[in-house]
Amino acid sequence: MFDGKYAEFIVPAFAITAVVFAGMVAFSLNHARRWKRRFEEFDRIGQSRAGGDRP
Amino acid sequence: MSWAPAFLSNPERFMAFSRWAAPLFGAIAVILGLVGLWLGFSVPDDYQQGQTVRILFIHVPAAWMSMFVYVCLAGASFLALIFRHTLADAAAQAAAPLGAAFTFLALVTGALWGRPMWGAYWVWDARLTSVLVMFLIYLAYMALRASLDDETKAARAAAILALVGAINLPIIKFSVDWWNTLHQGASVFRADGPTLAPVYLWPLAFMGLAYMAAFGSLWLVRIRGELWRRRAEAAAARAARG
Repeated sequence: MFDGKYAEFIVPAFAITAVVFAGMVAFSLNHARRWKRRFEEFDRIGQSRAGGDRP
Repeated sequence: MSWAPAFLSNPERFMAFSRWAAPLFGAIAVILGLVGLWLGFSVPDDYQQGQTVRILFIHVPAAWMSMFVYVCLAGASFLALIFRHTLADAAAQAAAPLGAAFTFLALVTGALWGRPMWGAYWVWDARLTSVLVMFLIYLAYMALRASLDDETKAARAAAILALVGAINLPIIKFSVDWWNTLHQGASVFRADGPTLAPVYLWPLAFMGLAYMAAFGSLWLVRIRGELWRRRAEAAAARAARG
């Protein structure tokens, strides 16, 4: 069982791994959501302009 | 496998698949990771490494993934370069930051294991150096894609870089056999079976599968994001034209 020996190496290794995983999840989800939102905005603008131009 | 080309060439089908597959892989990664961590902190100390053996349960899967993601990057780059698949190009672009992150983790956790075991955070050993070179190739790939305004040219140049960089994969794998290195040789994927004690093999297997599932989930999410970006840019151009 882990009782804290070599904790100065083990704890940072696990902490850095957790932070990098959290970063990967956050950046990936944020990237996908941001561009999906932008696509929906531009698509709405495009459709409203196309609709407005109609006689 | 006749479905594979059709699937790859159809972003709509990919979006439908990834909508449920990404969260599913994510949930599998969390469950496997929790079991792997519990097993990893329950094992007895290694007779040589002591408690630092626990670092290997996060270091080794990160090292495996750093190479596996590069294989995905090179494969997707090949398909994008030869068949001009939009989805393959998006997959290559989406894999690079994840591969860089796994390689960074392999290098950092390896250094934190090396200090108490080898007496040094870093040595210019063939395995460590070749993995560092792979990390730099990931960074160069991302920098190259970001540096050119013409996205088609950037994608082609980056794909060529990724394919040339694939030469480094066998160098990493066989570096411990070809040169006299401080880094130990393979102890899991060996022709004569693993030399690692089963008590350490189980947590390593769970963590390896957890990393693989996490990559699967995040890769799908990032490819989705990349496809949304391309659609948004096309929609912006349409909106600007009126």
